Amino acid sequence: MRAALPLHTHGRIAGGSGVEILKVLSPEEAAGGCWPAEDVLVQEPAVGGASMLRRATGLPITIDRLRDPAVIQPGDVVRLLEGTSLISVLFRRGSTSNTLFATERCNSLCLMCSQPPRDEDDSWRVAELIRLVTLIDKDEIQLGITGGEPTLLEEGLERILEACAEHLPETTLHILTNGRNFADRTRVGRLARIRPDHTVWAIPLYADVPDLHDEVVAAPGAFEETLQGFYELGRVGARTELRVVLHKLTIPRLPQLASFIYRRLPFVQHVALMGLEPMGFAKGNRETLWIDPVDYIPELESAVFHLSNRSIPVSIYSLPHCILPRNLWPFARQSISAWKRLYPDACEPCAVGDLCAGFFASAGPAWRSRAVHPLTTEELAA
Amino acid sequence: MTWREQLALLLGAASPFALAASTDADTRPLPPTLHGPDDRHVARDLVFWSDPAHRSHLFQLAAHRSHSSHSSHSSHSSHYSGSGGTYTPPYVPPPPRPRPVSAPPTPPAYTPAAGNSGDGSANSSPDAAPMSQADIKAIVQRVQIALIVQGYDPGPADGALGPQTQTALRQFQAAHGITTTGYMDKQTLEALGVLK
Repeated sequence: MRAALPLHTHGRIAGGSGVEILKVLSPEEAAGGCWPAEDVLVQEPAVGGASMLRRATGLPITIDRLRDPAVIQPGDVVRLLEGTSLISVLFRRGSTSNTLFATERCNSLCLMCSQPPRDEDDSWRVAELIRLVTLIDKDEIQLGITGGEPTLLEEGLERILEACAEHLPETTLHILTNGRNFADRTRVGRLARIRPDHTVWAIPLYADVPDLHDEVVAAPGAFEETLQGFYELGRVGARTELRVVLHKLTIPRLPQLASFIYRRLPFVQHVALMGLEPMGFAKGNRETLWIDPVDYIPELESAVFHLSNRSIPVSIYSLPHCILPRNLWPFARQSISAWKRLYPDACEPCAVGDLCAGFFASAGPAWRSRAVHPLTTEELAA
Repeated sequence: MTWREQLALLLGAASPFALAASTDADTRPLPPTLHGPDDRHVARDLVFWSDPAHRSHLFQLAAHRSHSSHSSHSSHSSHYSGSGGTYTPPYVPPPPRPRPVSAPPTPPAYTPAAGNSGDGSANSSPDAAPMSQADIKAIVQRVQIALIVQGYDPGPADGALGPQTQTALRQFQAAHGITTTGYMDKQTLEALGVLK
């Protein structure tokens, strides 16, 4: 199986105090002086296979005996914690999956949540994220913000967005939120005006009726708030994306939802229909949620073409090409981030290879469609 | 179509790269290692892929034929997801941009000495080997599959760069803001996700 490069490794860390967030650079780039020397860990060329990281200025820090040296590359931003051997990659240069993890708190409790919320005060993250933002490559095209529910940070999120506006003026932010807090017009006003052209608010809506949406997100009244949130964002011209996770509860009304989106939310810039990620709560709710994707192709086709025919851009995420009919291929994106994407052994002979979405690394065989099969060049030649 | 015709299409004179490079390529002797004893081996690809870094890319691509060399962390995949939630990006792909900071390591420069002398195994990298017809075909086929996967219609994925494939390439290029040459230039291959 081909698995992704992890975001953590261990090593022998000497020096540093508390939490250190530092930019890893090659000696040549460090000498270029684009980054303040006290923020930089210089990755020294491997001598006899053992690479070493060193901060030259300020309090000295050295890291060696990396368990997995490939995890850390020049350009990355890493986090060190005093007294531990853990090295976490917060930003990976060249990756299109870079995200800021805003908070673990959430005001919904979705049945399929892949990142179950924890109700703990983690506002310390704001300062770390602002520090991280200053060390991200200036030419980064897109950065995600996720959680939890980022808007629960209130003015903390505002400060993060302002830091991005200052340090990453060219970078587009893609913010995952349930939109419920935007029912409050005053919050929209402040957040949506920081950098409207460079910010996309990605908001899930699971049904065209309140009853079903509220059941999926386990929060009574959420449907009304989310819908109002869409309108408030739309009112100020903010960019919005609507996301639907495809599972046994959302599939039956998917065609009606597509119609609802066109009638009530025609200003959304993009609709993403997403395969289920078997992580977090989803694992425990398999009975409630699992439906083999090949069994919902008719509903999926109906929704995709209803929206696409009406000029609303639509994408299918997280479903491999081999289970989709050819007419849906133009909508299927390679959406699973590199570090949690996996191609099982069965895919080895596939002609499409890693151009397809692949599978969530967390998805065991029980979560895999019975229709998964390697595509042959002959099939593609047809 | 003969392989020479295929190659002529592949490297066609309509390519700005080919035009730019052809004059001095005609007068400059090719590195001796590239004159393979087998005439079926293609030396002219150097005209198009004259930058050694590009050339090594092309060979990586050819290696995909066997599906044995998938990049384990395809860092330039076109979409992303994050540490929380099913995290995937907006619809409109960002315009492809050069990322000089993350440029691939440059393989040894093309000097006559770099090819087959010295420390044998280290220099027998694909960079130094001539490109065969099968290599070219594998690359074209890979591009055709990438086009099909993205919803374009290059015709059958047969490894021949015919008019239908070129039309599909042009449509793809137009949709991605790339000069619509109908040829497999580096920018197009990167946008297709074929070059990582």
